[in-house]
Amino acid sequence: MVAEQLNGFLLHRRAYRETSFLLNFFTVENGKVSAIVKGARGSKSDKKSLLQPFQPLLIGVSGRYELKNLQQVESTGGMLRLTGQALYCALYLNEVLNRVLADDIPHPEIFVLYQQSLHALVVETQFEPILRTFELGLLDALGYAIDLAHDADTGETLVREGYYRIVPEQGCVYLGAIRQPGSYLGQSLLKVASEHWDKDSLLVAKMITRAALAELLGSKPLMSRELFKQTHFGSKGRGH
Amino acid sequence: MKLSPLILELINAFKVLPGVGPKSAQRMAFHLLERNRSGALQLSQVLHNAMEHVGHCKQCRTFTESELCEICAHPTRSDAGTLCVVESPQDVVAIEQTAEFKGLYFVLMGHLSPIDGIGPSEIGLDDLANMLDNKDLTEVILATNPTVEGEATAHYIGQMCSARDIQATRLAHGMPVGGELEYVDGNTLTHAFVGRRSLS
Repeated sequence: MVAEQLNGFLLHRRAYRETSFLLNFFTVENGKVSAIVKGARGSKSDKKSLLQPFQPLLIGVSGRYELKNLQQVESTGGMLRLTGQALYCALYLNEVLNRVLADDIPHPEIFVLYQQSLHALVVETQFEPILRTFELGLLDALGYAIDLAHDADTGETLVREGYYRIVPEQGCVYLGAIRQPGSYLGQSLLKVASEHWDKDSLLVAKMITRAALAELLGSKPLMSRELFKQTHFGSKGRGH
Repeated sequence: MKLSPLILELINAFKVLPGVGPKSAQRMAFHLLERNRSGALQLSQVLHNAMEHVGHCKQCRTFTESELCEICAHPTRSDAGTLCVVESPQDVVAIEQTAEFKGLYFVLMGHLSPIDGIGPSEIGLDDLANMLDNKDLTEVILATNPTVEGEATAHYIGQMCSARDIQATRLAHGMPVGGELEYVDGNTLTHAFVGRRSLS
């Protein structure tokens, strides 16, 4: 059987039986792909070192069913050197993608976004804008985009001084000129919409994307967020 | 031939062993019945005993039937002021065989893997924090596996150590002894290059 060649990254691998791995890839061509590789956990196999997250790969898979067989794997570039907080952020991206993507549905635009975000995590020092841009882009690509620049009822640009509430599947609903619990200032929403990042817009974007992603992710919480709660160890925690 | 219920039960019970399917289970069952009943009786007793009594060491979390494992209870090992953090009890055995390390261990019984739902509390980092606070440690050696998850775990514990002014070190990654450079995979070679040392 001819193996299908796909370009992508490993999202997740877990041990299966004695020497096998169950793998989830995110590929340009086919979106998320699940595959099994046999005999890769033995001491003689060199696939272990390639089958790591954040390593650009060319994989060959075969099989007619949802769970494919991994025939070969090659590196198509150096492994992205992520450490510390950047690594936690990258693990967060993997966890979100692994949870929200369905098998075998191509999402080239999300792939590009993922790749850009990973590269940005390697070079940048401010991670929150990268995460927020990724989350907004992901929601957009999956069809859950929220129009943060226009009033849901009138379709006009938001009033900068007005307060708005985010209603799922509708958008920004005008509440009035007085602050209420769970409301956002028009000015902040406009900044998020144009991805103009400062302390205020990052916080607003975090709350909005978290609520929107919660609908997609279901009730099971994201474990990556636990990694960021290191404040009780005395080090500076970076919320995300 | 129809097997009697007890034999069937025995065969099914063998299938809990890793890598044992119906055929191997049947072979094991008949082998013990035909040739080695006394061995099998001993196995059943030891198995029962071990499953009843083996728990986790109160200090390092490795498997033991006592409150403290042999290494934690050793009179001099805690004097070294070093702690080696590993992922599994097998790793302790591997490091002990080198006879290179004379300090204490902490066994995580896994690694941080958010995607699998394994966070800091699942791998006993609260216990580790206690140990860092209460023992007089000068160095923590992070011997988690050289995987992405192992690195994340090492970094997380590294931060716990730096918050307490304890030096944290990580095992080097590099060339296998007696290997040939030509056959070493690219990632290992990259790590070996990055971690190169000056001679002398």
